[in-house]
Amino acid sequence: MHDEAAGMAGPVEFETTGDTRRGDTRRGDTRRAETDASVWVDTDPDDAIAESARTDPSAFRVLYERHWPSVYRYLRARTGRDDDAADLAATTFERAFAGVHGYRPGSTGFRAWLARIARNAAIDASRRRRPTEPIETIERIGLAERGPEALVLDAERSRELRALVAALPNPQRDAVILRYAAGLNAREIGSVIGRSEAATQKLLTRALARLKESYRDQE
Amino acid sequence: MIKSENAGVGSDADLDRALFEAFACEPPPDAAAAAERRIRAAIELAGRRDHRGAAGGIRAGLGARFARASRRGRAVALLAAVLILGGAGGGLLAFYEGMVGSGGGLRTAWDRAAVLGISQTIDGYRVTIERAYADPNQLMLAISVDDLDRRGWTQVAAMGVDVTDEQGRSFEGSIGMSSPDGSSAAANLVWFTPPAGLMSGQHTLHVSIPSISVRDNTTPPPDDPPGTVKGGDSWNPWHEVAGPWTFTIPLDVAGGSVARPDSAARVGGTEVRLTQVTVSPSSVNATIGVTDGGRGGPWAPIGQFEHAGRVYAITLSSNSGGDGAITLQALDGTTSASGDWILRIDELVGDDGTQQVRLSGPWEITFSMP
Repeated sequence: MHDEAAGMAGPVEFETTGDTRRGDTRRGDTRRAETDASVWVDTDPDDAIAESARTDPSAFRVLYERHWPSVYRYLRARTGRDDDAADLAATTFERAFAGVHGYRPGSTGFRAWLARIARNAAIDASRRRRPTEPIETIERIGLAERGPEALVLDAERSRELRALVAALPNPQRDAVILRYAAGLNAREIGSVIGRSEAATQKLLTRALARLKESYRDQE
Repeated sequence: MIKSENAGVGSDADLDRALFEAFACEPPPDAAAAAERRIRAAIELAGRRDHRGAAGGIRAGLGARFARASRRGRAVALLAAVLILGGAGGGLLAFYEGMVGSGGGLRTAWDRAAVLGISQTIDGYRVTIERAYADPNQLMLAISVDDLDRRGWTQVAAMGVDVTDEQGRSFEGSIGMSSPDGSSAAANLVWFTPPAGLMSGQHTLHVSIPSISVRDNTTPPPDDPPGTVKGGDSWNPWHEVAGPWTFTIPLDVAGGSVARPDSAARVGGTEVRLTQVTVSPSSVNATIGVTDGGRGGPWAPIGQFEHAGRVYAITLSSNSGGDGAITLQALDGTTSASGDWILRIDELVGDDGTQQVRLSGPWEITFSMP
């Protein structure tokens, strides 16, 4: 769930002098693909893809690819377990796929809608099983690019921060995880947790102030 | 507790960054594959039921960044790929950064590319070869297009690019992305397959862009009939602007490793034979053959390469050769290819002429790279 690039018009796929990977695509076909892409220029891309998925199920794969990482991160942060997070992420997308006909574009957007499904799936699961300790063994990405000392320091800091987030009051914790694991903005988070954008922003501000204070106390 | 300046979260920006890092994670491959299978099954079931034409759409797995899809599916796949540009700042550089992502073979190619910045302007349209990268598996060109006259709200893209080397050998066109900045410029990345036998070292490439495509949105799209997909198929706001824009660029082609294992694995009467592997800094390419006793095809493998504790997921496959050979590509590479590798194919997806056929493996082939 990446932030949308401001001011973007319609991106375009194109192929150049033929499709060497399949051998049956000619320029004419390629241009039609461009045309297809360009007609969605004025809409939220997720909305356009979701709309397309109503008539072409394969289009939903794009939504899955686009949002799987952030949904997984969010559920990983909530459950503390890789397998639970992956299972719930799959459940989330199954539910989203089944319900995409009911998705209404133009409100707070697809990823907030998806996050609501993920959150509900996590809540349902937590009612069925014992909660696990949150997030102690998250695998870091891009480790190979850092020196060993920096890696140790970063990993230590991340562990501490996750522990501090886990200790936040529930609404603050929820908002922080939606922000930093799922990548939602305040408006989207508000729609997920049932608060206004302004109230959500205050909630996040308080949570971050508390985290900073707690971190400083530990030092 | 280990503390240092690096570990601090003193400023709001530091805390912000530290929190994103704290929650950054990737799913274990097994868990991701299991989830992927569930989603794929749901989509395929719906596709079979509701939309026969789309069922065979994306064939190379959900990780396939440029997988074969239906025309509209392919368009939206790249639409999504291009739109992963979160947080991009001003200028086309940020668009390129967003397109290549933070890791993997595209990033490698971008980071290792020669910075060229060679421009040519025709009729007010400036085309710039920003960067170029080549290795035995791919040539990547970053091409910016800029409408200097700002003729209304246009979107410009270099749609056709011809490349030859100093011997006149062609780089076959493959795939590309174009990402507009929202007004009159666009960042384009185009990938080609190098000619067979291209050696590492210094080369001179000739690049010709016969025309560019310009999008003119001054005419709004027609209203869509109720019940149709928004935009329909009748509205085409693009037109071509003739060039050609031509460039001669020096390029140091990176090296790679090639092995011809000719090793096979058999599962349930189906044999997968690995005949050639080329590992470059930006990707892993391989050629396989499948002997299935007439059970279906053409086959799209779902699987991965493994080497030195790293996984290289197969993200592209094709059956273009006409000889039954299947080419595979993992969009990630290494400069440390030497040693033992494993090709693991979990599933072969094809059809028997009437419906989709899926053969379960795994087929595991161990081979060595020099």
